[in-house]
Amino acid sequence: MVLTQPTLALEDGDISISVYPATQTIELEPGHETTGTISVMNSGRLPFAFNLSVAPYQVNSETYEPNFSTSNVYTKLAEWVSFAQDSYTLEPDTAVEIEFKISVPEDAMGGGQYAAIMITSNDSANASSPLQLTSQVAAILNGRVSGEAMKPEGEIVEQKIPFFIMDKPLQISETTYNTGNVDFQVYHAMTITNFFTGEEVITPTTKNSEGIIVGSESTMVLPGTSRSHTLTWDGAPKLGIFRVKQTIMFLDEEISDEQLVIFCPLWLILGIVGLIILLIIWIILAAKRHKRKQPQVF
Amino acid sequence: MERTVKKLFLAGAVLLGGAASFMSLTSYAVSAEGSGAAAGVKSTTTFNLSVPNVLTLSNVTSDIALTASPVNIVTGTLSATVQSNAKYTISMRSNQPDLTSESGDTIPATNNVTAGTNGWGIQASGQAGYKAINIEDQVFFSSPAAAPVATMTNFVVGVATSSALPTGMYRTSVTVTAAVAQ
Repeated sequence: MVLTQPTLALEDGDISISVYPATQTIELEPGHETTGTISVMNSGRLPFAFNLSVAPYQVNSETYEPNFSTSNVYTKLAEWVSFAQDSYTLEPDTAVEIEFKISVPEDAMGGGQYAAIMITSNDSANASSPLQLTSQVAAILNGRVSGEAMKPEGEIVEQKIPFFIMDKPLQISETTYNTGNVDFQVYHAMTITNFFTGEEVITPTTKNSEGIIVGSESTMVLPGTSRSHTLTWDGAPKLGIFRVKQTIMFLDEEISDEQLVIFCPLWLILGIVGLIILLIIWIILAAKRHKRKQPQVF
Repeated sequence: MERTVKKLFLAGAVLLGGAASFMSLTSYAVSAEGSGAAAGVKSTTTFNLSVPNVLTLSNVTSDIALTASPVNIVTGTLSATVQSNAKYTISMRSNQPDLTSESGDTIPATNNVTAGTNGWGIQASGQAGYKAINIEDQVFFSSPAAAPVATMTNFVVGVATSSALPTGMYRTSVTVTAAVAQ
């Protein structure tokens, strides 16, 4: 039997760590030093101490979830970052601007470099709890090392617009593969037009009831990875014909595809098939009747 | 027979047509643009304002039951609150994944937490089944959208023990990391 001490949770709002910018792009040159800043703010009720460290930043290719453990040729940036001071204590409602230095080696290859500055505090830990919790916020650095070797390249691997939809929302998707050595943004947008009335029901700037844009989105694709993205029309009707235009833009490329999409529920399809069968039977029976009525000539 | 088929066909056509006509041909409203009349001379100036990503992590707490049991899986909650103007993820890791007592006995981290067998795990938000924490960051929650208002995410922590496990205080450290999803 395991016994644990009673746990004492912190009150809401006691320890609150804010960082900005939580992601930034920095231009780097081989053999040069570059400085940058992040700001850390205490937006809680209690003071906290925190430490700074740097971790590599990559993504898990299929899910595109962040990976702060994998080191490869694109994460050397984590070794180049340093701080004059790497531990601080912040009182409530105060902020500190932290300067970091990036010393890029002379022989650094041109292209993307990725790391995350970790702001880590143990002050949310409760000594009597079985789980000693550490709070950590990541500030992602997207570095671009200049040089002839920088190669922004990519290709569309897949584009999908369904032709026929039964009882579910419309989803169009694309997959982009970064074949180069530096990240780029992919802009994915859809325009949906009623086939009969010509009314644009979804445009790239359309927002849903929560104010979130649903007609387009930009995502980043890191080098050596492929990323899939899907746009969804949740308010699609159960019956109708629409013209769907998909636009994908990245680097200097713009790819568009347009297709008619038919929305029809399953019960209507089965009903139409049933009617067709009945019609065929009716025609056959009518033809037989007509043949019986014709006088026979001997 | 022919008349019956004819009647069936006509009735079916009327029914289908009627049902289809009652279906909602909902069109999704395009977001309204601002409108209004303006008089006089107009000139436009473009402002470029870069809004940084701001990410806040707060209220990282855990609430685990007082006593483990060899009969049931004992559950508690690990919570983290995030406010972000972009989509974000919550990851967790531990340098020592197993719950460990002062005498060195362990309750291993496992994906398969089963009553009566030593093991503990954390459920990823919105998913059934436990996930074993390990020394590398694993995402336990990916937000579908930004969180302009501080949003708490709860994770179920499950602990199971056997009756042979020695008594003691079992603990480990867990790092909870919030990051913007690029």
